[in-house]
Amino acid sequence: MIHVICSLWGKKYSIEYVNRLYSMVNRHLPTDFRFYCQTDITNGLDSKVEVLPFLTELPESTPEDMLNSKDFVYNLPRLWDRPKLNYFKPDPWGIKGTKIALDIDLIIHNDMSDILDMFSDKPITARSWWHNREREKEPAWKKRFGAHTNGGFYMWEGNMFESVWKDLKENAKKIYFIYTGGSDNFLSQRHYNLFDFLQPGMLYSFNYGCNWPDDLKSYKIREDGIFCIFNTTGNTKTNLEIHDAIKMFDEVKKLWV
Amino acid sequence: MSSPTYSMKKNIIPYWTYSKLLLTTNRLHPHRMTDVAKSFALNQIQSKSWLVEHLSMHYKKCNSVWVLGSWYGNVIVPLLKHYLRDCIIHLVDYDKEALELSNVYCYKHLGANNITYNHKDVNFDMQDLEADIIINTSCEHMLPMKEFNHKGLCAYQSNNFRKDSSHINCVDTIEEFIEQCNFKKILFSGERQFHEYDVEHKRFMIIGER
Repeated sequence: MIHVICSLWGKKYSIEYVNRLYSMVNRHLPTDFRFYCQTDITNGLDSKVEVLPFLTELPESTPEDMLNSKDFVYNLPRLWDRPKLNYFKPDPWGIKGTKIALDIDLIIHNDMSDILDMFSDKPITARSWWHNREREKEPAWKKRFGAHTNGGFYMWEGNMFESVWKDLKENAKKIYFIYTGGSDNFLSQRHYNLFDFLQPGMLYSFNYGCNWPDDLKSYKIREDGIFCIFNTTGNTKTNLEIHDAIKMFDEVKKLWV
Repeated sequence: MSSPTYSMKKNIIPYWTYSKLLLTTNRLHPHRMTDVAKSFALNQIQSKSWLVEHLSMHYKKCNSVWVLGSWYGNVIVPLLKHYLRDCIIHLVDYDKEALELSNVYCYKHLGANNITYNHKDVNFDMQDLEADIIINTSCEHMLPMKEFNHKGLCAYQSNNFRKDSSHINCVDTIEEFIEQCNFKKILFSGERQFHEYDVEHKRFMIIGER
């Protein structure tokens, strides 16, 4: 049994994204699973999706508190995806056993067995293999607290995130203030060595490609890939979010079901 | 080495040692060449010398000075060596490679012995600090200084250059910066142009007792 968790807050995405994510997991996760969504938006939710409340153990971490804090950088609250930090609590919401957390703005288009096979004694997340790794070494990357990881996918069990949760409990407000870019920046800079990473190709970016330096074509579905994410850097002219890609590319629309 | 000439002796910052720093960088961490080159740009020399010159008017006795966010130390260390003489300098940076280069540079090329190199993240690892002098020229990269328990003569700099995404804590005015720093007594506060090419962006500095 695997517990699959996602989160929905704000107005950018609708319940449809959660229902479709459930559907994709149902097709591609080759084992029994329960599916949960941390949200306070429930109208229209698939009956098989179990609702989880936003936890309040971390300060100003609910969507409402985060928005009310008024401490915004580039029109977003500092560390804008705080609800995802609740995943790192030991047995969050009392859910024991192996867990997978997924972002709702991704597409799953192949069987996930290879990922289940690679899971051992460390949590797994995605590495941004499309990044230029030479540029990642440059000091400017570290100075701006750059992310090497992508939290569209996590897989873990037991107390694998104990150190992350301890850090958050002790330093939440500092962490929010510093890692304005989000949870990926926080984990990349403070807990990078905790993780195993999905192999190149298992998770790729529709906007940036799959693996630096040879496989960087944008707007391309990789047939052998498992997850396609639609990450952006605010450059709306060239970066497509999932709702843009669905409208513009039939092959994306066909997979998002 | 042959003795320095009159002209060389007139230079508080021995710029000829930067040649060695660049060669060391190229050998150990070639991906940092641009960053090292930026470390002795005009605005870096101006801001650090502005700070140390003003600081030198206010300290009475100095055994130890801490430099938080010391980067390569290639500008501030020669200045501190000149103005503070025998003081022990503690350099702190979370960037391990930068600290390694500052160690090679200060020890081998500058001949500075009284320096410690501390690989720490100021935001998380330097909550409490008591020293004769505490310098932070990178407050825009860090939590507000009032969040730290600093005791001593403090010299802080920040700026209003928000276009750099690593600047997570810019301030718009010197008053705002003062509000962020919790000084018991302010000895100097002022501002200067941040870049040589625009007047919009400013660097702020406060020296005072905490």
